[in-house]
Amino acid sequence: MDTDVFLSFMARLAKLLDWQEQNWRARTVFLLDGASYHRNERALAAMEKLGLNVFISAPYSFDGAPVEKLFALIKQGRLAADAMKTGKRQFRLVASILARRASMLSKASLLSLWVPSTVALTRYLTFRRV
Amino acid sequence: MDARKVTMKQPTIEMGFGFNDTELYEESYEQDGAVKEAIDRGSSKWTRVIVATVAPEQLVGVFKLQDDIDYDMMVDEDGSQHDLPPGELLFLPDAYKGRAEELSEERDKLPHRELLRCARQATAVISRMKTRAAEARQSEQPSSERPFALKPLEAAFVNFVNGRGSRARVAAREEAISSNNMGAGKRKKGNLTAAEVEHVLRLLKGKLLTNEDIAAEVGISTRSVSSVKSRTNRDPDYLTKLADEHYEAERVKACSLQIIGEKKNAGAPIWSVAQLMEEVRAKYATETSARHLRKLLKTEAGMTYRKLKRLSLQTNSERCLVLRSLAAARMLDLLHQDYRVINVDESWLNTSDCRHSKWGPRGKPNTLSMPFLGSKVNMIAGLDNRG
Repeated sequence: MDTDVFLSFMARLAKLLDWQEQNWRARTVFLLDGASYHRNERALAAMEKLGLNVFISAPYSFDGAPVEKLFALIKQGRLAADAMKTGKRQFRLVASILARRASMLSKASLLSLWVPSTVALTRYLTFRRV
Repeated sequence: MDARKVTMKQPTIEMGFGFNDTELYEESYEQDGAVKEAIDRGSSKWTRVIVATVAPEQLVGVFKLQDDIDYDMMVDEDGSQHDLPPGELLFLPDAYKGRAEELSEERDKLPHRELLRCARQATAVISRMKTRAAEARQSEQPSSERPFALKPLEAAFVNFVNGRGSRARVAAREEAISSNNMGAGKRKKGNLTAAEVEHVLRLLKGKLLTNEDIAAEVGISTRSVSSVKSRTNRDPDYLTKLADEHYEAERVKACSLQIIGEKKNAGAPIWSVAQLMEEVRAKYATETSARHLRKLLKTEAGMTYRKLKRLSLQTNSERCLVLRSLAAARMLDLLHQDYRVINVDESWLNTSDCRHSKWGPRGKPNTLSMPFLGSKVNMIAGLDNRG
């Protein structure tokens, strides 16, 4: 993962949102963690140019990021042993399993992921340690 | 091979995106005004892009990068209508770099009134998210009818992996227990409490009720009633002894929970049950069993024994604590105002074959020639608070 891939994803996401809704930028904020390819000068400048409002989360606040829980859900369970073998074909299989698993998550379960994250945010307010 | 041409050895895949393992070109380009170029560079890693959005329509779209995406249109879009100025940087921890002396727990601690306000905001946000989730749950299709539904065999496999079978059994048992539907004769005598025994004895004194009536009244088996009767006949102090045992068990439980609670509140690690046993013995001069402590940790304290995730020492440094607090207050404010927050992050999955044993002939080396490292599957995903 690097700045180019990240920016490419963000650009495509912006395109998708443009397609779904006009003027979505007005009330949309992108919450990103503090990875170097999110907050380097080039990435920030590019996102500013794309018109994206960016919120870089504080260090080590992974509890407050619901998408981390999404990844946990996607990775849950074992992948078939055959899929863990290396090789292009098996690699495609792993990828398709992950994509399928991501697609299987319902809207309700995705929305529910915000609840524990909001609870974590309130914990941060009182300087609770992670 | 051209010196500037690098072949991608480990193909990269982005979640929901296609991938290729074609050649990447190592080129340097100008830093300023390079947005389009950077995007193109990122694009060159994919031959095709499949954007899979999960909700609400579970849409799959296929873009041809060069044809479908007009970067200029996207980049130059006018943002004058926006509530937020476009491209605003709302929070950046780096802005506090070199200003560590400005950040201190004492100075940045929110006053009580502010804390209450934030707590109210959080409550409102949580309740809004719960309502949205409930509404989505009501309106969503049954999982078997979704476009990405698993085939029956796949579903069976997933159920097997997730252990739903055993969960269902546990749930059925819990339900049976909660509805007191265990049936007479199924409950063990050892489970009787002193209060239950006392109740049985009081009813037995009346000499008007049969064992069946008493069993039905107390909610135990007739065998337990007759057992209590015969034990009391043999030993007149049976009830006192039972009460003492019960009291002692309660005391041990309270002592253990006290230690567990202290550790939990202080954030001190509980490494093992043996360590807890030792501490209970040292502090309260009380013996307890490992099994009992394990049960308390699981059921009463809601804890599990899991793989440790190590964090660096600066995770809980004063600077980080203060920054987390500042960011949390700002984010809660945004969530409360119902901004659409899209959390974007990346993760990866190692596909190396981690199996370390296999069946092999006795007396011969159990060797297998295989690659040590597998491809790394990179995932990038965005999750928003509107579903």
